[in-house]
Amino acid sequence: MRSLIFAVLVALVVPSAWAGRQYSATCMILTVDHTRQTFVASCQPIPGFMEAMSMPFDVRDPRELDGLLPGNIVDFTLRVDESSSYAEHVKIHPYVSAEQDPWLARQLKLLRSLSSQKSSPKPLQIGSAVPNFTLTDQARRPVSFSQFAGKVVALNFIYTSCALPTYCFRMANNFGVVQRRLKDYLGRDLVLVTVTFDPQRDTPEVLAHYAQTWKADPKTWHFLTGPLSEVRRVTSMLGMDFFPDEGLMNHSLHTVVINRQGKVVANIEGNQFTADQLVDLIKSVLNDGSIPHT
Amino acid sequence: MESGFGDLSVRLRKPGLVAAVVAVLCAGMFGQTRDSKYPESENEITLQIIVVSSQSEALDILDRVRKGEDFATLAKTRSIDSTADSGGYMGRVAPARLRPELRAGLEGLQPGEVSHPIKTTLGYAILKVLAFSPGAAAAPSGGSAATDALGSVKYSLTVSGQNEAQMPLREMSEEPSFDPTQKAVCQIMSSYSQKDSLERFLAEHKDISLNIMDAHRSLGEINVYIGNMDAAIDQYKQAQEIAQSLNSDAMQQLNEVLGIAYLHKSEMENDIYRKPGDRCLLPMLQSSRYSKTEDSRRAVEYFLKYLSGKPDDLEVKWLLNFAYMTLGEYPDGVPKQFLIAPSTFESQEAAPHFRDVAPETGVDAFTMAGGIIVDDFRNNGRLDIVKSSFDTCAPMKYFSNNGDGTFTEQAAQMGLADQLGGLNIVQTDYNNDGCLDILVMRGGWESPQHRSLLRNNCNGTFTDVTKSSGLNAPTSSQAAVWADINNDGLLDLFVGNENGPAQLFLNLGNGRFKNISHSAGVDRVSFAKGVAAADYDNDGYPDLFVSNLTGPNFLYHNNHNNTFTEVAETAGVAGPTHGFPTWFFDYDNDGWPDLFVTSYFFSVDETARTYLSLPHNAPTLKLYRNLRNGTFRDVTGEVGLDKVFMPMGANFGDIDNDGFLDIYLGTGSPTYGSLVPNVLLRNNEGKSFADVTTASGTGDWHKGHGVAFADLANRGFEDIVAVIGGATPGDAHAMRVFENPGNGNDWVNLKLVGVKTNHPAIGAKIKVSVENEGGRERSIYRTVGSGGSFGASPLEQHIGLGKNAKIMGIEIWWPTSRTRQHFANVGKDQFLEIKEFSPRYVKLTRTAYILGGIKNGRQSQPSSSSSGPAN
Repeated sequence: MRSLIFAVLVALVVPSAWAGRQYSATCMILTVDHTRQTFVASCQPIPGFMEAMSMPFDVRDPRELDGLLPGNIVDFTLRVDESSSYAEHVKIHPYVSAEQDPWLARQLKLLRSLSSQKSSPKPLQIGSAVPNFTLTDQARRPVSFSQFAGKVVALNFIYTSCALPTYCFRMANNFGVVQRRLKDYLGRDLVLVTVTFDPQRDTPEVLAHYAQTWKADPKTWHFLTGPLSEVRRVTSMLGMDFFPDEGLMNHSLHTVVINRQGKVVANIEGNQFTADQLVDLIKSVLNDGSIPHT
Repeated sequence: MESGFGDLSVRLRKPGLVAAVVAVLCAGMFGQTRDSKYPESENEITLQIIVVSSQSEALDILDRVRKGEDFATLAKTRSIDSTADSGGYMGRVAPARLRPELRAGLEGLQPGEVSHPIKTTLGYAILKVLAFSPGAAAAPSGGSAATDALGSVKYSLTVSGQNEAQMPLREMSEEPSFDPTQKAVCQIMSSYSQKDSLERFLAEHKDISLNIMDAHRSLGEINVYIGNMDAAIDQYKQAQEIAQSLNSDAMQQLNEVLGIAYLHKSEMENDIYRKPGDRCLLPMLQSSRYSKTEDSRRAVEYFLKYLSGKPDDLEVKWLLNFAYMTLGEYPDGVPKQFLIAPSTFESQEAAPHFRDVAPETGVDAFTMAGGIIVDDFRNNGRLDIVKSSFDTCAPMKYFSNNGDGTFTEQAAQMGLADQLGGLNIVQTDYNNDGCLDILVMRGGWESPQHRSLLRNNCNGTFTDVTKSSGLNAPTSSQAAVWADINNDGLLDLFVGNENGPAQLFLNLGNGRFKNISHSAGVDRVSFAKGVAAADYDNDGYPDLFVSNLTGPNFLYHNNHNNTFTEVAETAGVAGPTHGFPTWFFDYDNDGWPDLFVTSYFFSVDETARTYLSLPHNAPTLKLYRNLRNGTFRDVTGEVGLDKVFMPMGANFGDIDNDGFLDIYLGTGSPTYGSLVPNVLLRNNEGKSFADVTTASGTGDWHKGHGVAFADLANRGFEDIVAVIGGATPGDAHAMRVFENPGNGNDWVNLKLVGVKTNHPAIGAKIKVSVENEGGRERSIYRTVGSGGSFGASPLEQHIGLGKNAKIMGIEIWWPTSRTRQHFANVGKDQFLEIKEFSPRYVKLTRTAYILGGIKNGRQSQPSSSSSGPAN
């Protein structure tokens, strides 16, 4: 397989410029194999070199793979020469935005952790099982997480009054793309769950209207609302924070992928990945969702 | 570029369409938003879109399209936009409602042509212009959230500390056992426990990290909230040092933060908030410049630092110009490339010049935001002023009118001193005993709190009767209106809430109310910021309107049987989907109530665009003219109101007694950077509204809240009482009492008293037939009420009559008894009381005086007529 991919790479490179070259890559980790010293990632296009695609990469130094988890956005240098290619200086690209909204959410999260009277539960680690929760979907049906046992679940958070299109709308739109591209898996193997953190205003009817933008099938893409306390329980377990701010919300962005065994495989923060990278990640979990050893 | 559509109709249409599209794009678009319910082909185009993640992919798609591949198929297989399944078909779109980069990418395109890849929200977009077909479905406004111009609005930078300050209360509110009494809420809001936690954290952690930077910024915000500007600036500087070490983009943002903090400090140092005078009014004259200039200079430095990296930032340019104004160096001292020209602020026409007489009158409250009522609570013919405060620990203020041009604060004597907080208040007479009661709304913008119903005991005191009234359950609200929805003579209460369904409280007549919102069908959930009531279809029963901050508005038509039907969409009043203050008024005097709804965005950028006549990304405020058939027409553009301000408190009145209702908007938002002037809009004979702020001297740059129009001194001219003050203790400000200079026009003041209809006559309709000079006859219409949804004017109706007026007749319609009174040949320039069923009106004796009183050394006002002789 590797040699086939390499052959593809060779085919894309201009033959006359056949010397050692290096490229900057930005990719989302799909799987990591420490024993084979390789990782598979879904990458953004490298202009003049390759289109967006997912493929395996070798590393020379096994320590490059330390701490890498599915869903991590990484930057690395891809070195290509006559006989091989490998990735080096692999760095996780943290989601740090100086845009006002995510900065404020981060600030308030810190303040809450310092000054809160009650201790908030620690968020789930990668590999932990997701406890059951029950909320109500856009068709006013009760939905419990336990009813998805055996299926891969992709989960994200929105509120319908979100003013910024690159935030909640983009998150939901990503799932709209997943709904299209992974149509064959939906229902039987894959379920999409979008939880509102503004349950007081996002009633099932409001969510149903919002879901219409993507013609979401309520049987396979649930938009959930419910009592604020239950919503908070779900958001805290997945490390997501929200703070009401004059009719709007300051909040962090999270997309979570949970495998068939009900364990968190990936929890991606932010919006700096493409819908197709998310599709690749979910496909990878559908095919083999086991947690990589570190 | 080969057109894909070669039929004749398109060829004929093409030149006009292209010319129109280009004209629309180049005309600077005065924010015209064409409601897609009333399409006009020149202002709309039909579009198809493909969005992909990368530029290289977009170029590939473009290449395929040019080679003849089907656009729709490419959309279905490759597009990540929500329209992919429909082949990328968007429908009819008004270009003005698209994001700026999409508008720019469409420029010059003919039907059948395709744009270059446009970098936009979700990736790279390729747009295809289709042949215009009027039958095509209209896309909602500018398409989806990804393409609508609304998503381009630049929100103002938050420098207020409000989020930090509210955190403990919000957290407490989620505890089921917490009862948000006024005392409990005050106690939590004044403890500032977060300040201690942050100071401790920063003492223990000294590393250079984002967390520490965030902690410094948070501590800065809390100090800003309290008004400790030196401490705040110190914290922001420390945050900026860390940002610099981390090479973070936060550096830039902190330049603006520091500029705003220094500017606020400058205002405090120069005592602008306590003793403003002329100094924060448009037009900032050189003579009003600040005497202590160091902090304004520092502000200028920081704004210039910011602009060197982002020279196009309109908000910072705006603040820079204001900072130069404070130094007396505007416009000449402002660097040319950042100058906002003085012509931007000039009024297009003359206007009466008002003067703030608050200090002389004794209405000198130095307070945060709040609501206001001006009315005669003691039944002594004098208008008192009541002010509530957004400060959860501040008691209500009651300015008692001494009858000599001065007021004395005496909330304690009235039994009101232990009423704390409340962003908005409104008067009523729920028990029909002839003494006006007060409703206090709390929890607006915050977590739920109890409202208060204060019964006037008719002896100069009030009693809080909320607990036994049925109105006690806590909600987040600042919107309430009193209306007799079933014409039983008792005033019912409609409350718009932010955290749940609206409530309709039926007055049971025994001091108790019953919530019938569910059976009435008015319990939709929204973030309601304003409610209004009027019988918009003249069928004898008042209808209800809800202005929502997010999502469409609601118009509830009264079905006459304690139920309502929601009809905003079909009536044409669902927009602007970001509403705040609202009211019904007959702006064109045709006898039918029209609807005014504001749009509210936390964006100095959008407001600056109004002043600079740049295209808007946000929807503008709306004026809906009543078409007399249950629907309204959006006449906003026609009357010149297609503007975006940041209106909070607002109200209407007649500043020049010409008989046409003018509008005053209190503007701003919590951040210390939203320095935008209040706005006075003069109604020109029901045909247009002109911004006369600068000429009128009422353009206060600070945060305008409750507004009331009232003839405070019995002169027959309406003064404007405006609460100025922000959402934080550090942003408190003196109130303004803008005294009307008077004019030569005539007027009449009618106090209606219900007998079968509710006692204060809310909902009663007035028609004054008047003949002006030259024999011109016209009618002037009013409905008894307190005016707008945030700020309450007196229930007695002051009516301007124009020049040399002769009142041919006054007609009153009483909705509960369904009776009409006619009075012919009534004398002008006087105060009258009209009682239901009575064959005669009563002339009231009111003595005119000078606001501020003779003892304060004020000269007599020229050309003001006091109570003239009855004819």
